[in-house]
Amino acid sequence: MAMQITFTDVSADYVVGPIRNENVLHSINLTIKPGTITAIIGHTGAGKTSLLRCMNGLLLPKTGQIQVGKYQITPHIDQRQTLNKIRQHVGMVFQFPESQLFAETVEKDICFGPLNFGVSLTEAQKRAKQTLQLVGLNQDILQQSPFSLSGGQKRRVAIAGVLATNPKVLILDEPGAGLDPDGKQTIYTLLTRLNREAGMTIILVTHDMNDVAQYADEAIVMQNGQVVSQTGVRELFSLNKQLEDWHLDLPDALRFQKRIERETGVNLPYPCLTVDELADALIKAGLV
Amino acid sequence: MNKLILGRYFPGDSLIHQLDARAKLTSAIYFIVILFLANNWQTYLLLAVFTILVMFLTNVRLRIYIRGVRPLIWLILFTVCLQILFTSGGKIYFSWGPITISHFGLINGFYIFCRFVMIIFISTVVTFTTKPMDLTDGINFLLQPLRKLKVPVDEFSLMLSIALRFVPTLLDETQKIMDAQRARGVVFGEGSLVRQMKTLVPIFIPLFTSSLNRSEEMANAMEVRGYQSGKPRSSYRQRKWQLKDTVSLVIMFILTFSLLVLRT
Repeated sequence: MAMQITFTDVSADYVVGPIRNENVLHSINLTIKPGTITAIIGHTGAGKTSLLRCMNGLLLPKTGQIQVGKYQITPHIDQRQTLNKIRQHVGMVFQFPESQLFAETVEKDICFGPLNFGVSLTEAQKRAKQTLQLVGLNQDILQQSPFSLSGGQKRRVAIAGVLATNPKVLILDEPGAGLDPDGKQTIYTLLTRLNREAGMTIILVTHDMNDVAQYADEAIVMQNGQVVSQTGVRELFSLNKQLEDWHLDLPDALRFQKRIERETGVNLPYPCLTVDELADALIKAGLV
Repeated sequence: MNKLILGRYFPGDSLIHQLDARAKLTSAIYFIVILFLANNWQTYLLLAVFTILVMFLTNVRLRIYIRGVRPLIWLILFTVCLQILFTSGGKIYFSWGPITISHFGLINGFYIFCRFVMIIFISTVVTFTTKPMDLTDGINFLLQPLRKLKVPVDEFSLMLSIALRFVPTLLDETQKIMDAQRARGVVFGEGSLVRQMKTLVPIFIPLFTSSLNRSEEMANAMEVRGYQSGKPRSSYRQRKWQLKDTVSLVIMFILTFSLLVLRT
């Protein structure tokens, strides 16, 4: 059942209106394992969003092919039928997803996706209630206008609207952008739960290395439209030299660890990604 | 959306690019006026040669100009057909009730076609070679006399430049919202007309809300930085009237003179 996403030699152009950018993606080869949380990192314009858009056929490859579960995306795909099936299984949450809300009530907005994919109205309404609970919102906002909600609530309603289509893979473009720390925490906790409990594959773009360190299993580093590294997160943050070349920051805990090591001259046994890990390592090393 | 050629700017450094926006605007409007002086094949030929020469000088490929005409082709053909069908005179080739296809009709239809295409070409020359901001600046300058009639010219040109400034932003936004709804299973351009119209609702409502929000933010940002409507504003951009600009106007006068000589 699990869906594996495999890119084989994919390159793509970015087109908005009359503007065309050649090769925003360039000979991409990668495999995303089902059931993992994968973070895509890299600088602005590195092609992160284009990579995401390829995964559910919003951006078609110019060459190469993308395998999503049993479906195949090729440059000359018979667009509508296959792509719509892929989109049913691969949910996508855009950056600032609250801008996609449009219906009169929260319930109608959440039902929009499932109804488009041919789910019955009663089933869609049932899912609306479930997903709203899942994202931690109260049932009594179901009949309110989505435009009357706060920013964080709007975002969670928008995510619920995507979750209601029951995707097996969830793609998110900077889910935490523009939220306060609490709002961000709620979203990431939700994503971790979806991953651990429902086995959902989660792929997300983020700029915050703390999020990568804390929540992701795997990391894909992109630079100028190419994948320069795909490794486990722990491995990634031990690539000191490369991180510098890619101009990537370290997570706060790791940066602090390096400072402690420099000033005390004691080397801790392993790189620590979170505050808790760092505390444990410090106790073990007898520094506290 | 890829057809949005009309009103786009193509960066370049050609002779036409270097002309002052005011010179280009006046010349273009003037050209459209004197276009109506043409009434025989010599005059049309002269204007056509002039138009092609100007287009050639812009260094923009002909293919792009032709793409600019394409969205208007049905309007042009419709007018041409009316001309052909309802003009009488000369040798008659076909007649049915009030409808006749005559020698004069065919010639007139052809002239009308040329006139339309030349108007579009010349106006696209202006938009292709002038930065939108320079263009609104030029329009602002040319409309100044209307201020005597209490027309809010400065506000009008500010509105115009804001509108132009946000065309790419809105385009981007539309694309994003369309993608977001596509990801939720909307299929655009399929099914009956009513179905297709229904798919527009999830695009337009988010687009309107974000535009309204953005305009509110923009108005606040402008007010915070001291903008007040009706107060005179100085300009960061300097307009420079050069010799070439005068020359371009002189060329327009020579063109008029030749037209007056050649027309029957």
